[in-house]
Amino acid sequence: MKLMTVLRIVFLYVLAVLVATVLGTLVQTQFNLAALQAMAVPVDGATRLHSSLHDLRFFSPFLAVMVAACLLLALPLAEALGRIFKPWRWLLYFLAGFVGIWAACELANYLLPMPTFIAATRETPGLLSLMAAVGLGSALFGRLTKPKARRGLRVLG
Amino acid sequence: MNKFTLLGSSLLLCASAVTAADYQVETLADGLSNPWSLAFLPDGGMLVTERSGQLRLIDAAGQLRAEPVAGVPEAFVNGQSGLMEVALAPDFAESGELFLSYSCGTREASHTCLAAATFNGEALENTHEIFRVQPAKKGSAHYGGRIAFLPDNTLLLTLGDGFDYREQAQNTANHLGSIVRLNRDGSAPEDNPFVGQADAMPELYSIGHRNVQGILVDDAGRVFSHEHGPRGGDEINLIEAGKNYGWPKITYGIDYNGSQISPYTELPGLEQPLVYWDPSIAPSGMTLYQGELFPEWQGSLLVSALAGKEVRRVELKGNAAGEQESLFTELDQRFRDVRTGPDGAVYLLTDSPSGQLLRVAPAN
Repeated sequence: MKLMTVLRIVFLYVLAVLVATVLGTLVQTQFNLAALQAMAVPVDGATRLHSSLHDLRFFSPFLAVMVAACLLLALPLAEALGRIFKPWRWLLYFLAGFVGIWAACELANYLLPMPTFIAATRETPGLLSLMAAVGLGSALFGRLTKPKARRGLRVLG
Repeated sequence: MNKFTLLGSSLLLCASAVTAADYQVETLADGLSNPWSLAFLPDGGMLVTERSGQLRLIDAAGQLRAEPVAGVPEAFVNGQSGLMEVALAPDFAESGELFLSYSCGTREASHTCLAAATFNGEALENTHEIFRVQPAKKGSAHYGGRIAFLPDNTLLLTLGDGFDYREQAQNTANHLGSIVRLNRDGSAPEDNPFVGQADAMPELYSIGHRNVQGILVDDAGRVFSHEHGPRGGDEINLIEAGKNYGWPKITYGIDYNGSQISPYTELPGLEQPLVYWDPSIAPSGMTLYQGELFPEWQGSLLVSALAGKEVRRVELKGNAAGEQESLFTELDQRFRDVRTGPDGAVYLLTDSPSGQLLRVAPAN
């Protein structure tokens, strides 16, 4: 494999981790603020922005480690399955991140002293939203690494 | 008795008024399985709980009995759960009555429970559950578990939010994240602050707590408690009936993963702590020192700390907290409980599968 190809894949992997981490962090923040609002705590736009920036600064490094680890395992698996089930490539990449971050959360909850490491995942809607966020990052990687379709008339296969 | 002496000099955190004290530390018992709480018997003996579910007797001669005290309720032991506090009734010398807090149930559905029993000098008799936190919760974290008696002979039991249920600390329809006040039979006193409020649990005394593991009532009837906060949010509070202490609407801490729990440290109608600690020390027990052996500590709160591996002395100035001092850091131990003994010495329990009971007295 050419050096440039390897560097491109590494760059796209970092991009996928970055996108998934930012989306996942925003999921955590919004679910937490929603829980506070449900207790009649006021949350205006400026507070929402401040809280989101806080979490991007202090929470996202932890999430990035989890995302990076799960995508490191999940993306090659999605690529392998995508070569067999070509029409489902985008879905396979989405599911790779979607299921991968769930496994990472389960592992973190098992290994760490606290029952639930990421508060948003205490309830199903928050967990599914975080899984979808990482799924999107993973699907983005699949989209950007998709082999170019052959041009011209394909007569046989 | 395994005995050693260690001379120490306490560390000054803040300048001027705080005075260092020379002391010696004596090991009274060791090999205790995560000792959690200590009670002094009228005959000079002591009762010690082990989180793994045993109640141990140290007799008046200072010997740790090999066999645990019989008659202890079965505790659910896992993570932070197990047998917690032992508290003698104010009239224990006549009645022999004591109270035990413990977690009961299973990992899928557990509660903080409170039992009453009579101690006959050798074993517990008539052990019976008198209170159980509702609802059950999943997991094995944040049970609270400390007990204190009010001058009117009712008792306060501290509770936790169950970690994953933090919003429930604001919900008066359950007991999670609160301090409850009970009659000695476990019933709710009719003058409790939430009695008569629609859907509110009648046992509630104060709400908005995370995991309260230190409580005491001073001679003036003031109630001081401390609670484990998240990262940077441990607190000492002056508890008043019916007040809301804010968790998780307001907090000085953030989640362990760095995320924000609340953008607010204060909001209308929510009480402020006397003290908050950032970084956290993980406060685990508390005594108001009123002994004569350490005059320089007289009237101070002594707070045992797990993560901090110290006992934090907090001076009280009226209803406010004054200067602080870190004690016993040279022992490099996680401290689970701190008590003032009848002799004026300070007694410590270390948090370990092979924990110790230590006695601290002046060096001279």
